[in-house]
Amino acid sequence: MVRKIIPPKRIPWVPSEEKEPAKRKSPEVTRTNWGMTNDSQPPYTIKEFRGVNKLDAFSIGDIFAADMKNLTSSKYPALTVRPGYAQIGATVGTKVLGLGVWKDTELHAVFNDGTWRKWDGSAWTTIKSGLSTTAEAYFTNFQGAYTGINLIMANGVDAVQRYDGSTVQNVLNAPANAKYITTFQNRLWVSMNGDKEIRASALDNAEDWTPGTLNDSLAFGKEIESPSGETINGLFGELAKLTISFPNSIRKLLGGVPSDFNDQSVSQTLGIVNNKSSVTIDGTMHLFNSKGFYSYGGGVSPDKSYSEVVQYYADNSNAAARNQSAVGSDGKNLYFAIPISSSTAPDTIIEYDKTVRAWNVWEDIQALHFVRLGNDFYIGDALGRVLKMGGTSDNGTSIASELISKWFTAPSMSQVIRWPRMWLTVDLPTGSSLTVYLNKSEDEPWEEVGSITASSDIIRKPIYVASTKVANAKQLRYKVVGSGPYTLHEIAWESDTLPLR
Amino acid sequence: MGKVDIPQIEPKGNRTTDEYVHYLANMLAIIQEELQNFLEGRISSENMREIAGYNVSQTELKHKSGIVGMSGADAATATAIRFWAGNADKTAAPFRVQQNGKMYATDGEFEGKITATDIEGGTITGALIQTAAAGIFPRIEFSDTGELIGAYYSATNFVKLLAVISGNPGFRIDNGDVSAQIGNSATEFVINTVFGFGNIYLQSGADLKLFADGLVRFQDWDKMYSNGDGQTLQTALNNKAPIFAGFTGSIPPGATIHVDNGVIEGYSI
Repeated sequence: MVRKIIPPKRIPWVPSEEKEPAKRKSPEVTRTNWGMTNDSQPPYTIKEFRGVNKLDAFSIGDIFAADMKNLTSSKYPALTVRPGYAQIGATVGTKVLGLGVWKDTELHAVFNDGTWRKWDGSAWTTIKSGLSTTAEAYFTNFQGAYTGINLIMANGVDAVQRYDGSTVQNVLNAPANAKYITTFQNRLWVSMNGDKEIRASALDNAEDWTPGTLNDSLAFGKEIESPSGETINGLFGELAKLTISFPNSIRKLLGGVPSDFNDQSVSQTLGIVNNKSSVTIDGTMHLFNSKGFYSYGGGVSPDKSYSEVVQYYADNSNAAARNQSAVGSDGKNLYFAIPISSSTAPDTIIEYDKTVRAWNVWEDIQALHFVRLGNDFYIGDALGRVLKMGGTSDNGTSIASELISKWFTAPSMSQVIRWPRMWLTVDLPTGSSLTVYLNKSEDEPWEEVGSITASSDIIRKPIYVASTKVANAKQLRYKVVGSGPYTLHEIAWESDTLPLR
Repeated sequence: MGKVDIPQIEPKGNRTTDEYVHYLANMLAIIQEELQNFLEGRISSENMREIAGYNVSQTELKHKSGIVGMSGADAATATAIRFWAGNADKTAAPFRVQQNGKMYATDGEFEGKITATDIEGGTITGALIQTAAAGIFPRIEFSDTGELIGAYYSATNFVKLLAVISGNPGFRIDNGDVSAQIGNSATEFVINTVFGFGNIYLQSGADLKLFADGLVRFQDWDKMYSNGDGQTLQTALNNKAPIFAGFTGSIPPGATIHVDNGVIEGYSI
């Protein structure tokens, strides 16, 4: 809790029906019948916003939001609207089946019209057609015996494909039905659709899959058993050990060559939702499964202590559609796209700001795939669009945001409080608008206490709201609904704590 | 073998203390896992430079001298050298073994049994050289005890070269019924059948010539037998004796004298 006297530079509401309330003067309340007020108390200020916390809304810290939508901590300690996006190219089909990046220079996508396309900077150019229109596609980069680095694609249905910079062709001799694909120890690794076997190519040769024991450069294969009798649903080569996932268990492959590859359990009870629900950043694997958001560094078992404040979202994800989830990173933050409630596609993105350790919630993007290319971050969505993150609108549409605070009470929850004066200090660009509500009970509707639309840029100015409209409350919470970008630097109010009645 | 990969410990950076403790615990777990893997015998050549004077590379163990080693390079090549000693160039080492099992050695001594399909060499020396073990026929053996050379069709049908005649090497030829010997006695070359069993049969398509600077000796004329005449030479000689028996007595004058083959057989008047 931060208490500091802020000399406000007052900005009237537009329309200015709600003038700055008279300080500490209320016709309903007098010192005679309410006793002493806290005239000497400085205003209560919140100038640090550390994302959402879905634990008990009475008990969480003041710096947390009890709920939020489309806000982020990128300007921490201030709170701001999440970045928007721009759709690149035209919509293709009705769903993006996979996103990949070749040599960190070219963006590639597979759409559900059966095409593999690359982004040429202005349009999607088809480089392969006739692919499965339902199977999700996974990518990895590998050179091996090829003349250059190839972008390799597998989907479990079509032959494994490779893009050499100009054309797409089959990866000769690759296992049929290879679905999950990654690069590890200078080999191409795959697991087949509905199988429990992992296969590795010969050392530095994507087209030699004949295993042998003559030497350690030959191809390799091994069946990996899971305690639940499940089949493999993901291969991940980003850590120092190959990670093999099942829906409810995880194993890793120790060793570096076929003669000593041996698998060990990472977890017998925790799995990964699918092959795209894991991302590795700064040497730590972040993954999503039915039990929550976990981090795994390759040593100790996966841990979710860092995500306890957003466990609510994992618990309320739609189990029937959970395998649509995706996890990505822009190199700085983590993004967990999950279907909430009855959604059949991910409708909520849980952002984790690693720098400030804040969780934020985004909506209005149905992310199925994430990929990073240089400093750009792309999303393939459930509508056949590829979105480039950035900007202040969602492809031209204002971003609707929402912030709901925890419940604020008197020192005793039996005491009645009121906020005779309340203001927000914000950056509000031209055209953006804010509406502020107060609420004293979940059984009562939100009371609008102020609204403003910026006709010109407002920079770090306090905006007063008519908080006295809500009185006789044992607890209060506020909601800030925004349209368009804005940055919230501070929320402050003066509070009267009234004696027990 | 897999590489033992110990991660670097990063500084605390902007991690909280709890996060750094968690990070360190994770690093400790990784190191523990690597060490456990190491102790289970999975040390990698990548983690080893030298052992017992041998330099370790990805494919070779080579003594520091360079002239002794073992190699796994060129895995698919049948003639790749796998073991060598004696030369830094393993392909020219006086002792080397190829992947296909072929061994080259400048010299060698062996004990025990050597089994081979073909053995070639300028000199083969040994107490016993045989084509099959004793009791297995047919077989040929060279031995420095008993017979020197023996070629056995069976246990009783064989040719041997052994010291049989007055302690001198000779051939003994035996088929179970006939036992013959050829060799030198102290002063003579001997061909005989042992203990008088079996004939000696000499046959020539042309002449059978016996020449001797000395005599051609026979035990006696009774031992010279003509199959064609059905008699011994002695018999023939004996039969020849009456022909040469001339007339005994006086021949009167005017009688006709009968002469046969120069011998006066008698007279007539």
